[in-house]
Amino acid sequence: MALKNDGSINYGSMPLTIAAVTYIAQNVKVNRPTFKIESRDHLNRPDGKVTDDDFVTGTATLKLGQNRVPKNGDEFLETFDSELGNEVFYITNVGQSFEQAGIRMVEVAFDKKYNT
Amino acid sequence: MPTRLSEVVPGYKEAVERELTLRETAFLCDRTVLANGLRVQQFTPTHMLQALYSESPFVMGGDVQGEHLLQFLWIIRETALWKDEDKQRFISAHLYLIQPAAFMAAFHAIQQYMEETFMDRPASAEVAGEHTSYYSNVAELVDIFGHEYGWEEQYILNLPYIRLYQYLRCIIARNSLEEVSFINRFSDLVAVAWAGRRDAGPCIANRNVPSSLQSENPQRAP
Repeated sequence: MALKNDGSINYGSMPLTIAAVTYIAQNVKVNRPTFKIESRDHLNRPDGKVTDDDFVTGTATLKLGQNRVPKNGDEFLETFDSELGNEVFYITNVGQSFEQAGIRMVEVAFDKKYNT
Repeated sequence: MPTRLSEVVPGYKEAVERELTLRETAFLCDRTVLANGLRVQQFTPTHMLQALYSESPFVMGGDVQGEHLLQFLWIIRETALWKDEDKQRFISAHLYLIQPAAFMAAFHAIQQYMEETFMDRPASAEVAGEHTSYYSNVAELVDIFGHEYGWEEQYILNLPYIRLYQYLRCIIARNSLEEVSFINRFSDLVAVAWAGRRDAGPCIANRNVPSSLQSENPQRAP
């Protein structure tokens, strides 16, 4: 939800080039979870913990015209966070596609690629 | 940071504003004005049933003749101005629309009226094979709004589609566990067309994808 939508612009819409095809992406969500390694003493009381970044995943809704629907494994490069810079992602799930008046819409999930 | 469509896609902001204006003004008044200046009612399920019953090509497809145009305009006429018994007078008053220039203007005005009416209708799933429905679209609308809001059948049948479909989007969004996306008929068309032109341009295509990535996925739509 936008804090402020000045100018009545659809929030969250952006072009996304996947495998050399440009799509209009909406509801783009990038998940950056963490994992924890917990340590306990001989009485099972917490005595230490390490928290670090876990695998990055995401979802998006793609709008397209006559372009092909992306396929699992298709890669794209995007800067979702300016501090992190460019990251490479690849499609891991392609949902049911919908059509209205020549515009198609499909939900996709993606994972970050770590060895590029 | 990701590119904002409103900053890079020509006409996108205007298309979004058009959609918002159409959606909001639909609640102000049950009437509207066609692009050729004719005052009509907003299209409702009752109008749809009348148009289907009279086999209007504006809802069933096919070639449009002068009589089809007058017939459709009679269906969507402003009933405060033209009572049921005024049909002959209505046709006489609008016979000029059969002239070629006026006919084309009216035809395109009705096409735009229908595009705007159904701009927020739900997208249909792309499934292989033929889909046979088990009930009418109108029955589905009555069921949804009767169930959700407790509205009566006649009330639903006489509400403009442009308002019904906005309520329907609200219902879908409210009942969905996750954030849902819809197709915005005009702004998405502008954005998708821009994306297609961007891919077609030899100098700017692939600018966001390193060559190592392009070579792994060379497939393109025919």
